[in-house]
Amino acid sequence: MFYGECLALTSAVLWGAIPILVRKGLQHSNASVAVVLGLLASVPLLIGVFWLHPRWVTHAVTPHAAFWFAACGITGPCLGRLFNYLGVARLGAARATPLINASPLFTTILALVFLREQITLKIALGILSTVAGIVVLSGQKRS
Amino acid sequence: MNMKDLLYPLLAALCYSTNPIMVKLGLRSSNEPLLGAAIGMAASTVVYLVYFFGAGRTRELFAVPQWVGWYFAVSGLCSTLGVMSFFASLQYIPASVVAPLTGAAPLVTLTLSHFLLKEMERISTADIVGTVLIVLGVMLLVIG
Repeated sequence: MFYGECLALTSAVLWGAIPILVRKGLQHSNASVAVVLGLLASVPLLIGVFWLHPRWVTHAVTPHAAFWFAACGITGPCLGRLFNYLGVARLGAARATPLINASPLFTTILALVFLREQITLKIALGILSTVAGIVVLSGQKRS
Repeated sequence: MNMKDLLYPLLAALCYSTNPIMVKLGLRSSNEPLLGAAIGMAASTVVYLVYFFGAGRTRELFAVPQWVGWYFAVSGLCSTLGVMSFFASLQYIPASVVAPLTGAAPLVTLTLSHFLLKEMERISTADIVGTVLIVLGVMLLVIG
């Protein structure tokens, strides 16, 4: 009961805690080192996933799918995380995080432009609210 | 805050924005979300380590105080466990319910910042209003 909701909220709490940990550490180091150590710490988990999965990865995933998953990893946990940490270092955790989490705005714009998806009232209100939030946050002086 | 300050967070958002499309393209070919996430993480680890050590930055790793190293390592674990928890949640409830719940992460950051980063960051009313507007906007976008 409520397993799904609890798991989704666990993700939100874990992801929400990252900028706090990074911000504290960045006073004594830099974003690149933060990315490297974060990635290295996850290696045992990744080995566990590959090892415990009932099917061997080369049998379960086609090369075409592996290409897109790898591309997703390079743009997300690699480049995205580096820019994420640089943003936290420059703006602080509380201000950078909502801006970084505005990524669905770009996804929606890409889908509207390239996939010619229809714009609904909810999407229009979502774009308006997200842009307003960015304007409010960016209108402040740095502390 | 000037345009330069906005550059890094918005570049991060742009990088992350391409992920749902790439995941969709990958899952169309092989419906293995957990392995997909692991392949993505493995690829990013290899690419970043090659860049980091190739650029001769190894010394920077040893210059980091031990407690800072633990903070960064735990942040990486939080990220990976968050991804796994996200995929696991999709097995119980639809993506239209999962996405708004995970979209609340900035509210967690804002709350934790208030209590844990008191000496480094002061939270203003505009921070709260801006964060709530973005979280609401993102929720509307993902369910729209």
